[in-house]
Amino acid sequence: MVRYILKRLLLMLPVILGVIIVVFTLLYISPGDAASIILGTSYTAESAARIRETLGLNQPYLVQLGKYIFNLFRFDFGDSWVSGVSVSSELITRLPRTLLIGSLSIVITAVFGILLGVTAAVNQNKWQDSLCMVLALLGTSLPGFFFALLLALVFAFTLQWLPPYGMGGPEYYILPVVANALGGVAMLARQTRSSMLEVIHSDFIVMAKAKGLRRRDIIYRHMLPNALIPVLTTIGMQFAGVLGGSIIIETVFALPGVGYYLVTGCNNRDYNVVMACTIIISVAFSLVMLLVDLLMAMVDPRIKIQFSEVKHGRGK
Amino acid sequence: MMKSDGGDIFLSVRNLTVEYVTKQETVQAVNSVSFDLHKGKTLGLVGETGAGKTTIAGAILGVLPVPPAVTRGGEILLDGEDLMRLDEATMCKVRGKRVTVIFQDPMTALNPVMTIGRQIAEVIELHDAVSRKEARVRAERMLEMVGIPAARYDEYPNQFSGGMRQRVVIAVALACNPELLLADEPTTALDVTIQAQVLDLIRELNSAKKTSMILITHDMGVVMEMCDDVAVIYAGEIIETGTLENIFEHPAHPYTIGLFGSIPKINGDSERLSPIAGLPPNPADLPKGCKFHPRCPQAAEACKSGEIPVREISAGHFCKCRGKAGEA
Amino acid sequence: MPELSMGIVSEPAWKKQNLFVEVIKRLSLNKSAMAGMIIFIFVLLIAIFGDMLAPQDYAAINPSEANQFPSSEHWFGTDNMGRDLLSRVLSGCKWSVLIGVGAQLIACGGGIILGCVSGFFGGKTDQLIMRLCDIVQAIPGVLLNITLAGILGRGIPNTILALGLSGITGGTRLMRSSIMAVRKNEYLEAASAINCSNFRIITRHALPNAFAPMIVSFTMSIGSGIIGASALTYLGLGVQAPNPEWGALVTAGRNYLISAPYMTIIPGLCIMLVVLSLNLFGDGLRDALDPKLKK
Repeated sequence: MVRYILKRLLLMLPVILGVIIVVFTLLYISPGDAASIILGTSYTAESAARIRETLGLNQPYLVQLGKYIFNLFRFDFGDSWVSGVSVSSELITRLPRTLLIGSLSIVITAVFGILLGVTAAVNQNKWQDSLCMVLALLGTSLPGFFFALLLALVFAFTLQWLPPYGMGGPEYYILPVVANALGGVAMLARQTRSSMLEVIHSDFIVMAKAKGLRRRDIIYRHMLPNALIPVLTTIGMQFAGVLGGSIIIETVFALPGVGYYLVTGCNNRDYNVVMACTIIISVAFSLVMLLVDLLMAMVDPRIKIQFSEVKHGRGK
Repeated sequence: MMKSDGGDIFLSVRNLTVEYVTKQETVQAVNSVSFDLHKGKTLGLVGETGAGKTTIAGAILGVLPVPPAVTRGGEILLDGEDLMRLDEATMCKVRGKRVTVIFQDPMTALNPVMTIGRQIAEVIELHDAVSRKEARVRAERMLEMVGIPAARYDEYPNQFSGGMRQRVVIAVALACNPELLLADEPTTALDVTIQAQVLDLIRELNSAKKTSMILITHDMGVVMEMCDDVAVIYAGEIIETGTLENIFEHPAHPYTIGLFGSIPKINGDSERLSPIAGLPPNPADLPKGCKFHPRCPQAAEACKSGEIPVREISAGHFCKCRGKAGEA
Repeated sequence: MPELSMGIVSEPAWKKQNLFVEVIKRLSLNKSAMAGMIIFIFVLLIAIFGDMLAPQDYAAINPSEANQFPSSEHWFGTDNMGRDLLSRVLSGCKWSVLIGVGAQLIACGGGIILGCVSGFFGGKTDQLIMRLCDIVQAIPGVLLNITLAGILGRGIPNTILALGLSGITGGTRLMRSSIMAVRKNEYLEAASAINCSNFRIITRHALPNAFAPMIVSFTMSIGSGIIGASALTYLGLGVQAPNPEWGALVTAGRNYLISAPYMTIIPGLCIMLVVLSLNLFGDGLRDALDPKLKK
């Protein structure tokens, strides 16, 4: 098991390195001049040249890339071109907020998505099914930021139950998390329903019924554990949606996380910030996918055997 | 119709009719089927794929998928009690305890994410009200009984071969000492060498516990080896029924005769195999009259319409055919 | 054996013909798919004739009529500058549809080319393309959209490009796996046995058979393209202000969320309706193309 994790971690490194190189290269070739952004209105050709010299922007591409990667190992993403503040210190305060929104959203996604999907599947073609699927269809069709605005309109401005934007206690996270989870819940409900329906007609479900098990036991002991395997993959993929969604949602609710930072960076053409945020979110996503893979291995005996055999050296 | 002489009839199926109804079409899967099974005996249900054999087993257990399956009528009397009138909760106590089933395909009949031991222990726990620990002990004993080391209790189905999995399925079916065992093509999906082992195992365990059994198969060899009585099914109807000897020595229905014609004989004459001409009818659009008449070498005009009467060939040997040239 | 090779080569074409009729027949039985199709055709008509249908000039500013709630005169109300919202929604339709379709054309086009190259030449080419896909897909989709939009800058062509480029990896994988599946089929072996060129095998045999999943993905992705574009616009990275693209209308409305909520809600619901229709139609199409999935 430990060996499996190490192997997966090693396989992850080139991908992350690839992400860094791709993002760095994209920003390197794109238009946008650091010196003019840093200097703003006090731009002179002379001071611009000095800044390019100190930032090392005149050096060849490979040297710049090498330096950037080297600095990454010390968690140094450079300074923001606009504010001059160290990007890593900003990230340290912002990342926990984004991760909190992300993980809360995914918990809500998993719980409600599976619940809706199971309800729909076991009542196939009845009104519960139709209701769940109409909700899911609306959920996938609704733009996340629009839903967030609607939530703000109803719960913050009209009912005044929750704060419309900003940072503070736990109540500030409720609307962002709900808004962020919507798309995932809808998607997962559909996936859960279809993978439940796939196992619902399996021979082993008929067998479970032939054993004399009651309906509820069949659903939760036999159907769900089998349906859960593709569902887990979808939950993993939903992390991408949730992390991406949090960028938009943070902007809607003016919640100072990594996403909000990225959008501000993009709008200011503050490439150091853009690069850092892209890399940090991608790394977080890769780590989560790794976790999901490990979890899958725990659930699915077909994978579990593979490394328990490595561990015990036991054959068939 | 088709009633054997009384005696100790354990299971009696009367006029069972099952249809599969979808938006597009209605499929007549089982059409007014009646048969009896005596206590401790084995009845063979023989027929081609799609003849409705598995549907009969599903109907007895009450595990047919409810849409699309619709049971149109009939009775299934187990020891005099009509299973079709029991409510779901009572039926749950019958399934897995009094009536159990061995499925055709062991590769798909076991839950892939549950250990095989748990799958056996589950049914014991459910019906015999024992503790988890005791259920495990009994499940291990069942494993040993079907020839699997108890040490493999905690392994998953994908770690077993097809034959071994079928042994697990048998262990599940026999775990609570059922009164009636439905074996739905228990050896079809297995290698020939394993087939004999599995059949031997079923026979041994059955005779030890005096279990009654319905053996569903399309393999005449298996019937000869295992059964006391035989019912031949064609297109959802029983067309001939009798003792093993009746059917094998004096087959009366042209279809049954055709079935024997399509089996190679080692010691017989070196004549060529004579397969039955044509294909089984489309169950959504069955022919009128005798369902077999389009393929029957002896079909007469009278066979093409009307109800076909059941004739008693000899005591306990019935045949649903007008006979040569449409007489009777 | 001339008859054999003829039979094998002509089989896919024959099958395709039949399949097409069959798919249309199955699709027409699916009520929700038909509803989706009708709504989308309606939206397309608005995209084409929206400017003519608009009761007023979408850009005509009329401060005296600013922030009016929907009425018989202005069905959708007016915005903060007194512009008729109905006219703006009607004229904005073409931009939203254009961005959605345009982005998917780039994504699918790029995906088909890369997927074909990867699936057919295999070996090192395949390895290279797939590892690149791994890397790009390690970046969550929305993040990639935003980063690309941030680099490319604002405006409709750049938004289309940003959305299209980030969709290429998905298309590539889909195309590649379709081709891999088709490659295993025997008639392709037969085609190469009678000396068909690689190009011919791709265009005449693999592509038509790999197309079904591609069409489904194309249909469904137009919707996410429209959502993606409106999100970029909301973040200030997409379409620029005077343009009445629906995302821009929602964005313009957010500052008047309390005083004039219809400014946000109406264009938002329009986006939802289009995406919904595409999802319904795409679901139906998938079920019709692969009846095994439906149950």
